[in-house]
Amino acid sequence: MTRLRKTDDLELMQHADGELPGELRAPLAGDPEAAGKLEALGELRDLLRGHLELTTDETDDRKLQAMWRGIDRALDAEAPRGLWGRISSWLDRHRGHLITGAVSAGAVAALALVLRPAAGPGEGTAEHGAIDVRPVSLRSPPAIEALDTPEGTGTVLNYEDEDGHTAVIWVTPADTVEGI
Amino acid sequence: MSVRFWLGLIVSSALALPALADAPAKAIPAQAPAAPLAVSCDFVEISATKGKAAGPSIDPKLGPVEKKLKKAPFSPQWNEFKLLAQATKKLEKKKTEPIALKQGAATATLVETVDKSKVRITVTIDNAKGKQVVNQTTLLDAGDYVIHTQVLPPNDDGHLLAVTCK
Repeated sequence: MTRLRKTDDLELMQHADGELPGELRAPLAGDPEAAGKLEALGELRDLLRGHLELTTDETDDRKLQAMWRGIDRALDAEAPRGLWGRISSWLDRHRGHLITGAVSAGAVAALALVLRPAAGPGEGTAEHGAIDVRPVSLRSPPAIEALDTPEGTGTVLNYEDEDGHTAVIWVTPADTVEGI
Repeated sequence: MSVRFWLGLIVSSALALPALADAPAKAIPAQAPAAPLAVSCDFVEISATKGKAAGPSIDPKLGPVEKKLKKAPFSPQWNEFKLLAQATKKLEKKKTEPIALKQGAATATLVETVDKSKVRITVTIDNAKGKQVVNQTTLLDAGDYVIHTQVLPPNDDGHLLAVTCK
């Protein structure tokens, strides 16, 4: 008897869920007690569904919030701290751009150096700020403008070789008159 | 235009600017302050003697002066040349610079630079007794030499001081 009641209840539940085969629905249709139970089962199902939906919504929202917080934390941890950190991060992100710029600059500077006007006379060999060592052919012999040899006699000789001019100031002691 | 283009343009312009800016600077030299030219002079002190060797014996440390010593008037007078001291001094205009010598002492004064390629320089040399033997002023092209040669009694040995500036 109990088994029959349980079977009936199961059939009613299947009917309420729309899962009962069609040939078994007919006997239940004329049963007022079954109709009452079906109605009660429907109300219970609606109530449960609403509650579950609410619970599901709350649960998903909490999970989403937690997920977003986790993402925010991860982003904060990866974000550079301080000015130098931000600069390094920017350089990392634009490394390709900077390399492109540097290569372009090198090419432009090389072109500028190649195409610049030739140095004028006297500018080519001088170190910046230093006097110019000119070719031997452009030099003039050293000019001894003043010479004093209190302890003897001074003689000036000039000669030129492939390295340039040389002035020799030959000082002979006063007591050796023959000198050179 | 992409960020890459503009960034490249800015960086290349900034780096190339100094190379390109050199030409206008030359066009208006009057605006640039005339910085004094740096003058560096080498002083080489040499002893010269008449040795018994047939050929000349020249200290290899004498470098560029070596060739000059093989010629007259040095070579027939002496045949042994040794480096006594060598100094390089940066001379400032009208500032007397002492030159340490093994025998005696010397000073050098840059009077002025001429035509960016010559120096007017005054050199004094005192002997070992402290008496001045040479006081001379020369207008010298950069790279050329003045060799002060003193004949020393009683053996007629030589005491040389070669000076060159650049």
